[in-house]
Order: sequence, then structure tokens, then C-alpha cells
Amino acid sequence: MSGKIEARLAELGITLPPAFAPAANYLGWQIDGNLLYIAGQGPVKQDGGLVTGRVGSDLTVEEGYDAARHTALELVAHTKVALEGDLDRVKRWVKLFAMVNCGPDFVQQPQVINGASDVLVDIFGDAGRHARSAVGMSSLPVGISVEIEAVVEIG
Amino acid sequence: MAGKIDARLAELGIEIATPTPPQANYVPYVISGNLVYVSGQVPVVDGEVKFKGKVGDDVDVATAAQAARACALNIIAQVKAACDGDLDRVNRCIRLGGFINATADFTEQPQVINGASDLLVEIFGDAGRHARFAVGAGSLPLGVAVEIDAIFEIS
Repeated sequence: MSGKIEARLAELGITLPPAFAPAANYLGWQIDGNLLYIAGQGPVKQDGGLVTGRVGSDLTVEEGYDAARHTALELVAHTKVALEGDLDRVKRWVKLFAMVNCGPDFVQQPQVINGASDVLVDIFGDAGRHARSAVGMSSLPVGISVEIEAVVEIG
Repeated sequence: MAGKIDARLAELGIEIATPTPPQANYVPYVISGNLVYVSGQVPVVDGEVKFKGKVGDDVDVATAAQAARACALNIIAQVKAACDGDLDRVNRCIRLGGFINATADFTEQPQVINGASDLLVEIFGDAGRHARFAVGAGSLPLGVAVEIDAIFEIS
């Protein structure tokens, strides 16, 4: 399959990470009408490993940005599975809810989550522009540095 | 233009400011079908970030509730832009997501987010009644005390 988005991924030299199966009794995504809801995902690297640690102490803001980028690619990987391989069916990234694992005095959540926003716009262009919320969490599952859930409009 | 909601705002003595543009590669709201997803809003008042600090420590509940009200005013500003200036197109506020930059043992999240919920009902009446969550976040962007995102139904 060589859709427009696949071609764009190739042009950017991006290989999507494996789409992690949900860790428990819930679904990785759910489609309601033309909206795709993706469960909270973490920063999965190419080798399947996770980026863990607190941003601002264990990780720099730049490393947090990379973790957010990995997380967005994991959301794209899930989207691809949900759309039976055809990423051209994405009409628009609607909303990201982004959580950063960080200490109580950390304030650069936006700079971290830009790693996700930037790569979505790189890949999907204007359709990648989304509304978002970025917040700090005192801990996240299995110590991941970033978790993001998403709503995507599909065709 | 003097719609019903504009008249109600005038009656309450509330001015809706020009919405603040996002600081990064995302947008303040996305419209999907008849739903408006509004990005997380922080208490920016007259272009300045107000209400910084940790609720339960250097910010008390009453002040935090004012911060929540300021967030709600910015949400309404974004919804107004999404409706091309006509707030009478609001059918319903569907949901608020309320995040409080709180100490680890803080438990009065609902009282804080009531600052936003009460304002929406004052302005929109029954159409302002919404589902919501109110949680403590370990930290928030720019060190603000409250951040709130929203979903509205419009026609």
C-alpha cells in the first residue's frame, strides 16, 4: 500500500513503532461514527522499548520532547491498525490529551508535548493540527515519561 | 450583533476577550461535526498569565476558583471564535476537563472547578450544564493554578 501519508512517512524517514496491545481489560481504540478514540499511549521506541523517567530530573526537556514524538508515532501506529492500514482515511487530528511525568515545580509541559504536535503536523500537514491539553502528572504507568490519548476524525 | 447570550453577558457585566493564540504547533479549537474541542485554557487575563502557584500551598480554594472562572472565560472566547462570533449557536456545553496544580494531599478539586461550572450555567442557563472531571495534576504549564479544556455542541 502506498498512500499519501505512507509516502510522507517514507520521505521523513519515519518507521512506525509496533502498536502495543492494551495492558488490561480495555481496548486500544474505539470508533464511534467518524471519530476514532485512541487509548492513552506511551513512548514506544523502534525496538519496542519504552522511554521512562521524570522529565526535568531524569530526562531533559529535549529528551522529553523526543519521548512525546515517540508517543505521537505510537498513536499513529494505532490509527493505522484501526483504519486497516489506510492512514489516508485520517481527516483531522481533533484533540490530544497529553500528560508529562514530572515533578511538582516543572512548568515546561508545552515544550515537551510540542514533540508530539510537531511530528503530527510534519506527517499530516494541516490535518495534523489539533486542539490539545498538556498537564504534569506526578506519576504515570510503568514510569513512562509521557502519555497521550487522542481523538481523530476519520473518513 | 446582539444575540441572547451577548445580552446575557452584558447583563452580567462580563466581557469576552479576544482569544489567546496557542504558543506552539497546535490550534485553540477544532470543530468536528457539531462538536467543538477546545484546547486546555489557562488563566490569561488581559494578555497576562495570572493565578500562578500551587493550590493547597500558596493559592487558596477561593482564589483557585477565580482562576477556574478565568479559564472558563477564555474557553467561551474560543467557542465564540468557533461560532464566528455568534454564541447563540451554542447548543450545549458537553464536558469540562479541570486540572488543578495542587499539593499531593489536596482534595477540594470540585470546589475549585465550580468557579468554571457556575459561570457557564450563569451565562448559558441549562445549556451550560455539563459533565466534567476535576482532578489534581502534579504540575501545570507556566506554573498556573488551573487549566481547563472543553467540548461544546454547536449548530
